Amino acid sequence: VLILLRNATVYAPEPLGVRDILVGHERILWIGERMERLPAALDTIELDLEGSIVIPGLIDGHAHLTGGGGEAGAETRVPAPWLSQYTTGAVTTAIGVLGTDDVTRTTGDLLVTARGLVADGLSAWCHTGGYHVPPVTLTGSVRGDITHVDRIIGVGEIAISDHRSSQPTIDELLRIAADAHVGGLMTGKAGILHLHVGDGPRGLDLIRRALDISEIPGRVFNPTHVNRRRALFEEAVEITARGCVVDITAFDVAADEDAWSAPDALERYFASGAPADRVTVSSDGGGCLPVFNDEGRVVRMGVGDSGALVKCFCELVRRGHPVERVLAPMTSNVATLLRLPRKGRLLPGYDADIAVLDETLDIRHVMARGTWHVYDGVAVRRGMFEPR
Amino acid sequence: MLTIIENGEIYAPEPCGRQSVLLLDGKIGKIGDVDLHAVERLGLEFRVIDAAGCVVAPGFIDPHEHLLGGSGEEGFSTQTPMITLSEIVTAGITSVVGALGVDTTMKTMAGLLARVKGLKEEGLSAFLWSGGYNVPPSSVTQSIRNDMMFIDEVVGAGEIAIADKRGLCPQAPELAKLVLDTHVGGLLSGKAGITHFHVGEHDQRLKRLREMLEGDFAVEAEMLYPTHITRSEALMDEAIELAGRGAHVDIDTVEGELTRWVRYYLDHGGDPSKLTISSDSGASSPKKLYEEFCHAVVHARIPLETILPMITSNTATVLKLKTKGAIKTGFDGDLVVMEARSLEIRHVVASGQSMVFDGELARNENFLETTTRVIDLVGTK
Repeated sequence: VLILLRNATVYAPEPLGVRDILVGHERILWIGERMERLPAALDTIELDLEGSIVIPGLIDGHAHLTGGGGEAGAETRVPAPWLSQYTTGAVTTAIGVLGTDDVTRTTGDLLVTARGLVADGLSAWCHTGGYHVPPVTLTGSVRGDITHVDRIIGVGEIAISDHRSSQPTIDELLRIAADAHVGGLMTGKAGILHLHVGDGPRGLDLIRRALDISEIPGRVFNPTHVNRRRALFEEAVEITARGCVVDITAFDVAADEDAWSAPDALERYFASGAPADRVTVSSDGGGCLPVFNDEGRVVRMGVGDSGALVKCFCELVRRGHPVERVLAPMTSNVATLLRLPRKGRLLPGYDADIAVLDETLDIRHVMARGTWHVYDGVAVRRGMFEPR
Repeated sequence: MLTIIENGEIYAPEPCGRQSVLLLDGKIGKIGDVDLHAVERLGLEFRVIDAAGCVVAPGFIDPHEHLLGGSGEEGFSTQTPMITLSEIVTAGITSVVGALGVDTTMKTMAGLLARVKGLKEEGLSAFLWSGGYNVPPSSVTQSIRNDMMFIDEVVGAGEIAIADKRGLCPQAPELAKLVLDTHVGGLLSGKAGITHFHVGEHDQRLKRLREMLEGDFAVEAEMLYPTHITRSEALMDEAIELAGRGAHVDIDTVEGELTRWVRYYLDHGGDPSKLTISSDSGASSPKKLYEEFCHAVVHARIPLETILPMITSNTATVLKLKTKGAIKTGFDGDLVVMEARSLEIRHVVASGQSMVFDGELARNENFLETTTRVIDLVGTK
């Protein structure tokens, strides 16, 4: 009934050194230097992880659980990622969003997809709404959705500075942010307004104005895709001083593009001296990543993938950044912003969401809520309709 | 946190003899021998509950409580205040289903849902019926089926009033729509999806339910779950007949006489696996459920293993609570430890958390930490 991980080099994300970790049911029961041999009656399975690195399962704060896309016609709607697409990327928690298409995709579908992932052993929550204003909801209001529906923790991704947005006014944005904030207060949930920021030159202008004229705390405004333009990224680093947590998207960036890749962006963020806990990285998994020309036509199409997080992590560790520093934006920082209890850290009482990497940083094992999903590099648990 | 409950007689609810139960956080990890001293040596945080001389039963499931308080049908001042955590857990109840009743105007679905979430935050397992006496029923999302799909805590529709002047005289066709809508919501969400019926005093009794089953409606008995069936022997006879067709039926303990009615049900061929017991608390107390259960076993000598399923496993079955109502590995750590002879409650554990320890309340309502109010109200009935 228990699982004992021995001799692992643990990053919680802060480095703990070589530790034993005892897992019971879905939780971490104990972390310490050396656990004695457990009584046989406890039916403990031991796993020696000498030489391996153990980190918290990654939290993908922006994933299109139902699949996104559809921006270049019905044939470009992306299908829903299956269970092992998260776990093979060491992602054990995903936060779902609707994007451009909040007409044929619904909050109900998103919510139920998140529940399905939870039933399959992952942890998942979602935001209500999508790109557009007024946001699509289940109960008629953002505040109602956050208050009544267990898995809905905030609103978003509402689009700003983007040709696909509803061109929300400052008043509209404030109303939505206030609803999210109050919903968060009433329930103890995240209560954030997660903002898709497009390529438009207005950048974070709307957020700055909202902070100038309202009492709503900075943490409520959570812009994503802030590395899509280099100038936008500078705005993002600056706005963290006002309490905002900014989210970097781990999409592919070509050498000649006016954008920063996620590793480059994080590296610049660390170097800027901005608060270390006000940056996160997400994958935009399941979303399509269209590249538009000047006329707004799609010239190229990619698909986001939750596996992008661990790639970003490995790249930065290989560049010599300390593991704990690189991990925080994909684990503890996300859990803190989203007020996810028992997530994002390896501590007794926390959920047993654990990834084991070998010396070359390849994923060996991934455990979600106490169950192995990836073992010896193989996805051992798959969704019901996943191809095998 | 590990919890070891040792030396107790396990009723799972069927009698299983003397065994230890090991809880890992909120779940039952193992039933059988656990070497306490070996665990102690490891330096793990753990708690021991000594159940010597006690029976260990699954936490009770109360399928019908007016968590926001009773409607009060003699003016506003007769509304009763909300049911508190301590009232529930000191009665051995670790899972509760909240309901609205007559009053769905001042008492709302949103309010009831919030109360359910509050109890969950305090460590209880809590659910709710969507609706109230009226048809069409009240809901959170404007439809019962959507409530079933989107609100995790909603297990079905209820309590819909039939045979009662306070109901809205629903006819079989509209009741059938409601029942089937709830059923479909249950299929889609993997939840119970049953309709819980308040049966009033009118001598129409269960006629509407039979009309649904016998008419051209595709309604099946398993979708129906009537309560308050002890108003008369005639009503009880009809309930026994309905249970024979596959429905679960529920006795409330408001008026007492649980022993009489359980005996009547069993003596008249009622299927023991289809009967549940609820407190219908609101005007009355959740404690009444426990007191009536105690009386039935201790004084009236109904065997414990006969009556225990009616407040544990039968209820979990009808509510489709898949990890509740039994002491089994992997099930929720919901347990009641009672003195074997008197059935006095010694310990109540809900999802691994001690609610009552050594006969004393161990967990208070969260709001008490932030208030200076002194609330000490005692009913005179």
